[in-house]
Amino acid sequence: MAMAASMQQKPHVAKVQHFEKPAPSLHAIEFDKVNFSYGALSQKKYPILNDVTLKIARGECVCLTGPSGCGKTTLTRLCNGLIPTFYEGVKQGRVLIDGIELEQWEMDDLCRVVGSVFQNPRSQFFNLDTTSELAYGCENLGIRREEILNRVAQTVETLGLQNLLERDIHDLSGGQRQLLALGTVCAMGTEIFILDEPTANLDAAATQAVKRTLQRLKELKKTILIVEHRLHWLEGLVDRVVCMSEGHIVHDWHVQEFAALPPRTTAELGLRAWALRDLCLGPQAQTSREHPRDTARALDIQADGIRAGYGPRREILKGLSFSATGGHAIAVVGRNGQGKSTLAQVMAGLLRETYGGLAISAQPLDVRRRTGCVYLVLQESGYQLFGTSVRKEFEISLAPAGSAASRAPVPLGPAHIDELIERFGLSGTDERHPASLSGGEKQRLAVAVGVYAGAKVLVLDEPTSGLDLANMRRCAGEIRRLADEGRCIFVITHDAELVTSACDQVIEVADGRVRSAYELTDETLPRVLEVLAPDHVGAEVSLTASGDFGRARKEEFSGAYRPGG
Amino acid sequence: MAVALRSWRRAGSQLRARDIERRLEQALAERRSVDPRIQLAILVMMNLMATTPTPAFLDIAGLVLAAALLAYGGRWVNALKWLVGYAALWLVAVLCSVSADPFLVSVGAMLMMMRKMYAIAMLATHLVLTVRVGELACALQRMHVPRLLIVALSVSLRFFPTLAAEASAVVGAMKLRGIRLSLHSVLQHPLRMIEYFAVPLMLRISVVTDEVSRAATVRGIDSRHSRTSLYALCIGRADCCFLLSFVALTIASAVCAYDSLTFMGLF
Repeated sequence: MAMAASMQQKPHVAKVQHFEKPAPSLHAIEFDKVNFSYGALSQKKYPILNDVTLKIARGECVCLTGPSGCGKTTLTRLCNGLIPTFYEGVKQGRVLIDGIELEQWEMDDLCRVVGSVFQNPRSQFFNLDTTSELAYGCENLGIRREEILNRVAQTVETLGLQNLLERDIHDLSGGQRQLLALGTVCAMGTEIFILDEPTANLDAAATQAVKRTLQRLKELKKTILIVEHRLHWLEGLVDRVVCMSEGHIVHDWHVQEFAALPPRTTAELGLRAWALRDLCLGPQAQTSREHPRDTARALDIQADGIRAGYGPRREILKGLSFSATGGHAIAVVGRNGQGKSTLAQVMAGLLRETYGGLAISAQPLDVRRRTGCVYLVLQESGYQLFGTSVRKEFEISLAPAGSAASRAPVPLGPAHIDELIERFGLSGTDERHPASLSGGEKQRLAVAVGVYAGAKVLVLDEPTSGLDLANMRRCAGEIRRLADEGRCIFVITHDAELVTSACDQVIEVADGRVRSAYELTDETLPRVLEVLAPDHVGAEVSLTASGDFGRARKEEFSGAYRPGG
Repeated sequence: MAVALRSWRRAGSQLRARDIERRLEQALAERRSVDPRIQLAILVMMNLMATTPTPAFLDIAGLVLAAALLAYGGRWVNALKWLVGYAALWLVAVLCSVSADPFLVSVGAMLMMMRKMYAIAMLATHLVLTVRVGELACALQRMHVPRLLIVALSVSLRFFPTLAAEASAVVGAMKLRGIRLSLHSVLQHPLRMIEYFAVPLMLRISVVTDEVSRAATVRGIDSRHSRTSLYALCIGRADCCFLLSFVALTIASAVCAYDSLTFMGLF
């Protein structure tokens, strides 16, 4: 291990007992005037961390927030040993984990003390079944089998994961996967938990389940460090809110101080809302209702009894109907696994419905002709960019193959490219490769090429997951502008702040159907908040008790692990 | 399977740790299947068998034994399906080989060759579908396979489903941009299709690889301790029976092969 190369004596932490109080040390995590930059010493690099001093006491739960690129993630990497094991860089100052300097830790021992859960539930598992996954960390550390069984059982009881045992990981929803990842880490006997945007992809109920689990860990006096943009779910969980900006720690509030700050102050710091009950509608809801645009009348979308799914036994949409007109931004809300993304795929022509149909301006639109009329912007929008430069991106054809081309919308001319580049804030990036753009820029480029191709209906899938306040606002502004130009924008989202600042209509999807559709007004605002953030209106939510809602297999207990049988 | 698990579901979140531990132990013990090590050994033997000319009755004996192995692992419906498939394959092969058409005769001969691989396909599928990554790792650890190899193997098992998922995601994203991946488009613009398909796929894979290796690092994959396992594999009486039957089969086919080769005057 690289980090242990220079040291003489190893710290004596080989036996950390599960759930036992660790040896006393003042702070779980301590940063003392730390500077850090990636890359080797010889290269002159921009410092990511700049004179960071931070002390996190044992049993404390701290939220670390700040605009994108402020160094939050780098700070966590210094805590969990990914720096220097995985990333190289130059560090000055002292980092103490559990009272011992980072350089003195062997990775082997560090991962018994510090456990990490990452943002993407897709890529942190090594087994296909949950039980083996819970034991995986312990197995790596060479813990005896009886002890592993004991730890797994302890973890399951403590975190309430009874319903997740002996299941196929593919059948778990995103929220359940995050709980499982927490369980794996917990079984390793860790004292410090580091979570990097653990709820970026989760709906309200799943977020609440993660919160409850973290609360249990907190009761056990575990130290928790959460890196987050969306702050509202952290109320009642965190003790401190630390705000970073450009590599500095600019604020370190006690949670009560932070909650007392006026929303304007936090917004100036680029932070997302703390209390969703303070949210109020933007001006868009009023204006779009009072001033219907002429262009708006030209466009209307009808979905009529759409049924679709993945094979005969996994029907997701069960007769979904709605109608919408141009000039509106429509929030499509509902819990995960209820059919929102499937609807997007059907609308964009990626998935053929088995029944029903979609019509635009009273013209039935076959699934093959939808690409071009309806344009889907993926959550990871970088993946739908194929050009070698921003300008070339626009030149990639959007005309569907064959006879359908005659029905395709007329793309704007090449003269519009400069205009669009300018309008979407991409000036100066003309010749850059799309992969080198930031997350927000990639998203804007993906939207811009859709607009260029003449799409009248845009569907945005979770456009603001992992975006900070500035980017979220910018995204909301673009959505509003596209709608005001007469397009019809569908926004699939869990983000209450985005809904209130950009959308003027709501479609609630539940169990493959439209549960209700209504205009977003001050009267209906509590209704949509109940879906997006049930905890704030006192609604009871449950993730594990109702079993698996993420996939179609709900009733049967998939404990008998026989995939493909 | 798994009475313990069903009652588990019913008891729900009231279960205490001691109870959970007991039931977990029971559930793991109930995972009745032939030991992965034995399955691997059998696969090696069957592969050897496939390289030798053997009479049909030995092939069928191998097939029946393989079916018994599946049935022992609780997948008897599956075993029956495989047997029916075998019968169908043979029937087609025979029909082809008696026809006058030289093309069909050659197809028949090819199907006859495939018949020899059939039991191997059956056993390999069974191994991949029923043996958990953790169990396989445990089996390899017992065989003192180096840690690095075990890690590489278990990660690569995870890689292929990921590759498939990422590839279909890229095809979906291409469709969104009006780029269709078809035989026609590939033949017309081979380079462009590589650019649109292969490059994003590589990018995605490298992101996933990065994420997975980070997750592995913080879960102690580089630990200096020797790896342990949740699974307590032991070779039981049934395992020995299967192993011995397959050894007998291999010896029998070796003898037959030797005989036929002697007959042909090669020895």
